[in-house]
Amino acid sequence: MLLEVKDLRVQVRPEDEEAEGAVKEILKGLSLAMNAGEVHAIMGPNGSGKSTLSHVLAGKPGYEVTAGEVLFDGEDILELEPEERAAKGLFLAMQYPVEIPGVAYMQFLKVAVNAQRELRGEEELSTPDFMRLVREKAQKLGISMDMLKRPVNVGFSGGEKKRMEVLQMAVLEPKLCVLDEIDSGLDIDALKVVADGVNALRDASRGFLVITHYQRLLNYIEPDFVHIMVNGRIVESGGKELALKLEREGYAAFQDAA
Amino acid sequence: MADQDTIRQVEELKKYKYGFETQVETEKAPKGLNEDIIRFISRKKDEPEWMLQWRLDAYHRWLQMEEPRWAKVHYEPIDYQDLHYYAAPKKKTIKSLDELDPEILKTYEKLGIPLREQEILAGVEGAPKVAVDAVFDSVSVATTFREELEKAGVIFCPISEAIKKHPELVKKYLGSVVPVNDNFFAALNSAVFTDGSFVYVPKGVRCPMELSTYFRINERNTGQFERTLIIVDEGGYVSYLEGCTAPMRDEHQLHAAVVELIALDDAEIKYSTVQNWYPGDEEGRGGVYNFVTKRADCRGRNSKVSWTQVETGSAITWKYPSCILRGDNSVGEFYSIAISNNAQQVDSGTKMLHLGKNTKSRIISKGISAGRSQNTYRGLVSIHKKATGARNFTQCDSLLIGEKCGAHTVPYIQVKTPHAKVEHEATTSKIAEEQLFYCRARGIPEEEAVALIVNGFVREVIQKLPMEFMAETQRLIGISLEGSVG
Amino acid sequence: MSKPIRRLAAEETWREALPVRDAQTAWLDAARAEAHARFAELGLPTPRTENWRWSDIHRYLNAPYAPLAEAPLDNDVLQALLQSHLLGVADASVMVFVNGRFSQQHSRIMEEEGVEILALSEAPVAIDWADIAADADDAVDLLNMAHVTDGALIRVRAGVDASIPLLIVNVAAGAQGHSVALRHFIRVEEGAHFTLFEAQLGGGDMVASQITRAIVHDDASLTRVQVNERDEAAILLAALKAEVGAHGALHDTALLTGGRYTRQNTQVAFTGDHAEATANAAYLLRGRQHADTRLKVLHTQPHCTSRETFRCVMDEHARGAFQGLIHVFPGAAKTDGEMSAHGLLLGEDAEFDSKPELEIYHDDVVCAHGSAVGALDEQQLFYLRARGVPERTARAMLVAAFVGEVFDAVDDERVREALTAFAERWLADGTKASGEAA
Repeated sequence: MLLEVKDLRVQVRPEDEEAEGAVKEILKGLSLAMNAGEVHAIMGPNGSGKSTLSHVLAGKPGYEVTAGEVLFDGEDILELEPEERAAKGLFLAMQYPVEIPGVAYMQFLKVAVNAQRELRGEEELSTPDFMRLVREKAQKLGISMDMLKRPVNVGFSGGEKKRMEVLQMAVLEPKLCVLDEIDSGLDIDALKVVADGVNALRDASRGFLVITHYQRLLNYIEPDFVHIMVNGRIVESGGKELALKLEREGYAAFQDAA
Repeated sequence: MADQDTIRQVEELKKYKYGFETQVETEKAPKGLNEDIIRFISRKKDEPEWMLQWRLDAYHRWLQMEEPRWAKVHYEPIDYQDLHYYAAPKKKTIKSLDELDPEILKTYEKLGIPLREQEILAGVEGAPKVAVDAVFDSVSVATTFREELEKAGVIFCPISEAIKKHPELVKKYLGSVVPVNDNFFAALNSAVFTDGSFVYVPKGVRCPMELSTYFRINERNTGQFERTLIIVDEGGYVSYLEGCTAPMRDEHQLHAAVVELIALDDAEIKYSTVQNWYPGDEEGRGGVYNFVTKRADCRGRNSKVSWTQVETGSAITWKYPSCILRGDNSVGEFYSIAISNNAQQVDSGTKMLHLGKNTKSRIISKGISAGRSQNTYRGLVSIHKKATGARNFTQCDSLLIGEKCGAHTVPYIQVKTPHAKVEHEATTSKIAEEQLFYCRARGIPEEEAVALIVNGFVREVIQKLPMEFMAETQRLIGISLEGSVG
Repeated sequence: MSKPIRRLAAEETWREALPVRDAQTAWLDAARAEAHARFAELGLPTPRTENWRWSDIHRYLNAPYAPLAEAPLDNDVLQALLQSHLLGVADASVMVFVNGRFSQQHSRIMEEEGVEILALSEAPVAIDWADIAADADDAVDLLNMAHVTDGALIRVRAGVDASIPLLIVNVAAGAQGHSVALRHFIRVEEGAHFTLFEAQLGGGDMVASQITRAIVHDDASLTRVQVNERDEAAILLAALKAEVGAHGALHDTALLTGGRYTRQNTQVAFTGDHAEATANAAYLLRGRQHADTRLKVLHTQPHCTSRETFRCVMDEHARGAFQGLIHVFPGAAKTDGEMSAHGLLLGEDAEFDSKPELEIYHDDVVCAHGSAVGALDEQQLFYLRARGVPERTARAMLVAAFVGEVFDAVDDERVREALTAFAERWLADGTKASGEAA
């Protein structure tokens, strides 16, 4: 099993740590299991906890797991630092990739690649090898090398940011890719480019967890399984036909189940 | 050249709209300041002994202090022994508005107090509920709607009355935000203040109406020393409006007011000012010196204080409405428009002192200088070590109209914890020629275009004003800028 | 209510110490005596002096620090310092001043047509093109003048685009408990261009005072990079006073990372139109280090442009301060000024104080300033970690990125790379050092 989420309960820590009664439970006993080679889609209305799930999987600070476990390749990763999870092959493509002025994209990617290799006990990639790798992957995605000289995501359009997330995925070759609303803010052409990039990475050893609000994305990235998430829980699971049912009936039909 | 026209026009700026004097017989103390004058004021006010001692203490501290010199304002030394420290209309208390001196009613009319408010003053049925504690010179002569406020438990009265009727509140809070020796002008005020407003909003009470006070200086050579004290108890809310105009005269008039606000747990105070005192003639002669200390203490958790000010008058403005953000999660806001023209000098801004955790402050300052005026924003944002989670955002913009004016920005930022975030931005530029041209090309006369652009420039602040003041403010901006362009 | 301010030990010493008498520079004696007399009138700034509000000079100048006459020289220490400093990578002529005296032995000045370089102590009489007079209202400048022992005098003749930069090394070795004073003067004549590097090295518990005066004529340019790498006990009082002529340019960059207390006074005045100036600095401070800059750009002429960029990083208990002023004089039409001072606080007890000031007496200008203070951005940190970058590396990357903007503007490639590399390892070096100490 590539990923197993068991009865996960997550609270958001309030901004003011001393304030009482402000703790809010977002995930309320969520369970999910997926194998390598599978594509799972999680669909849910705004506020259902979709993004929280992706953040908790990647280890973003600010969330408190009160119950449950997350097994990645059979290992509980909840106590691991974000970088350790990344080195183990977990990749989160973010809904809003962060801008980092002053850090060149190339430098960022190289440090990431080699840091992951080091944590896995692998040898560092030499600069020429690294350059070759990036150039090859960038070409496939139609990304110019000029973009890689610019600071991370600074001044990039929404489409460019998402394409760069896919490039990172291609370079880092993770086992599990969590795509958090990778379709948000994209027009149809940009969406196709991003989906093609993702599809090119699909293989038997890799899993995808595609989080989205809209069925549209799933026309381009075809899932093996679809889960409907409402109010911090998965309320229905099925094949890709479930997404079409949702498209017809809307989320309201599933609200009661929560 | 347009620039030359601008200068000429600015220099010929229209006469002050509210330049007139009211003929009312007054009673005043002899000139000068000494213990006897303070005893005289205290006796006139029929004050308890502790109040007299408080004043004398302030007086002795004042004697030891020096007039501040750090502001970017210049004026001839003030002879503090050549001022009257007490003046009161002879007819002191009235039971109804009919008894009000007709001259005073006429003054209100000339001041442009809106018809609506005149109706309130006249007690017309169904009029909006705005309480007006009118201050005429140094003594409150009329207070309306007192009963309705009393029903809600809100105390709104002249501070002289509060000293007698609510000594426990006054003793507890007076000078607790602005200590008597805080600064030269605050010490002077503490020694000789003659009147002002007192507000107490009890626990959980939202004050049922906006409280509004109109100040007006009327006596030749009379320093006016207002003292305002507003306390909002836990969960309470009040919005206080203050506006003022003053008649034209030759000698400078000194005004050194002190305003203290105290917000306890979950309390909120909105304090809005439109200041339109006589700015002096084209050379600055005869304008008001406005040396004011305004400070709020956000003492309680989740308390909030908003200062909004529109400063268009006075020859010299020296004023820094500030917030001490003591309570955790407390919020301080400062929204300011300062317009200076001719020889006016403004040195104004705010201090946000972050002491409590997760305290937030926001400063939006818009300065417009025209003529030969000097307009300075001076501010302090201080984040103390224990103020983790503190946030501040400051935006200071200055607009220059004419090449002889000055616009200055003097922000101080002190941060002593890494768990805080402070952002400060400031810009200074002249009024955009392209915008002016665009408006004129669409048939808008230049003067109106300037008013339009300036109103756009200050929009963010105007929106923070209570409804009652929005119209007056837009009118004031128009008046202040009339003649500033050719 | 003024309380009398206790006079500092160092101030007492400096008031009483007679100006240096040096046979070699006897021609300076009159100027020294005059400066000394004027300093005695003024005294040192106090915490109430606005320009010094964030420099608690009382805390630092609390020992006598008598002007250094002669010091036992530790040659090993000196050699180690000279071989390992950041600006050492520059391909440049080198002038080394050891304990306030020019050292021929350690210097290497390459000849270049149209460029004159000599030490103050080598001048038998006053040099007519070098105006090294002190500002009569600046106590620190006067003090420097009164006790000056040496300095560099540089003249770049009209039209010369100098290809060899000059590195001035101001190093102290064995000067503990004393003060030294250097005055440099540089004149870049019409249409000429020059690059100057200044290194501050060594120290111990001592006070180094250094004034650099620069006159940049019309169409000329001067680029200066200054690095303070003094050790953690040293105090540095440094100043740059520059004048820039029409269509001229001054580009100044500083890295303040050494010393217990560094005070930097930078003043740029435009003497002609269409001139430009940049004054940038990075602070990388830790421990109980304290750095304070007072920067003034005087826009006295029309059509001039200035850019001031300060990126200040304070770890542990360090304190950074910045007071900057863009002053636009009447008539200085089309002034374009932009100042930004950002503080990054890493340590629980770190502090940053900033006062980016605009004083504007002309309407046809575009001026802006910004200042932001905070910790590292948590979102950025998470993004890097989610890509597998360990937290410590991520922090170091973000710190280097924060100050990177300052170094990116340095033209000299070797120097730029040395500064950038230093910034990248600075955080890790500190963590290591603290670890070793503990």
